[in-house]
Amino acid sequence: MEEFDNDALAKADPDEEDMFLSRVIQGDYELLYLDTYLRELFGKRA
Amino acid sequence: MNLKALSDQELLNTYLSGNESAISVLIERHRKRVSEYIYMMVKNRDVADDIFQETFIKVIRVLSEGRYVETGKFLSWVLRIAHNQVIDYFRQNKQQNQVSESDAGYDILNSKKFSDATVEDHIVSNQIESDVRRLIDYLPDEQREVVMMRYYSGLSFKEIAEQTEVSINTALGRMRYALINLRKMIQEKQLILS
Repeated sequence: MEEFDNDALAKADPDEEDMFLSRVIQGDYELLYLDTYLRELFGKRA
Repeated sequence: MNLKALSDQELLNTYLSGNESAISVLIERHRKRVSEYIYMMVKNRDVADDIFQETFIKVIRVLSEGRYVETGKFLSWVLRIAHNQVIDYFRQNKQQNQVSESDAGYDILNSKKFSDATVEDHIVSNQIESDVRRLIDYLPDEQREVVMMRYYSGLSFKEIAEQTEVSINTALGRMRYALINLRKMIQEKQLILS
């Protein structure tokens, strides 16, 4: 498996990040942590 | 050197090699997500700003003391430090009308202090990672598809919507339910993500 860009999170379109925060996370910090964890988990080499 | 083009780990190594600017780039890169995380817990922008500063002071201190163990999850580590800072804030202030300590995410977050990690902790952490990967298989097909596209392939929601032939709103909704369902399974299995 190719390595996923681990820093894509920070480089992502800011509009998309805002949309993600407002529509998916909706103020739930646990979901934000879970999303961050999964991004970094799958960003590692398999 | 174009610091902004470097990965988190490369920036950390650059900082530890003596380039102070590298840590500023890292902080700016993750400012929004860390700030939002703290704000979601404390519901007060001024307090969140203060805790954000304290969080990165602590991050820099741990890095400088050589106590950071690279696991490929720098931002998750920073969020756990932020989480601990918020808990400390609640303990010190015991304010009303804010999330209580018992509500403050002890379910899926490691409540142990980040600096206490041991070799054994990392073995457990690897097992948890394996378990989480398996839990994704239990998601409904449409939710699993969005999860795989976002985390494995790194697609934007616009791209996910196009590839799955649904609206962006539908893709976002599926993502939300996927995360909620994953959290539920993680809690049921009593896994702590660290």
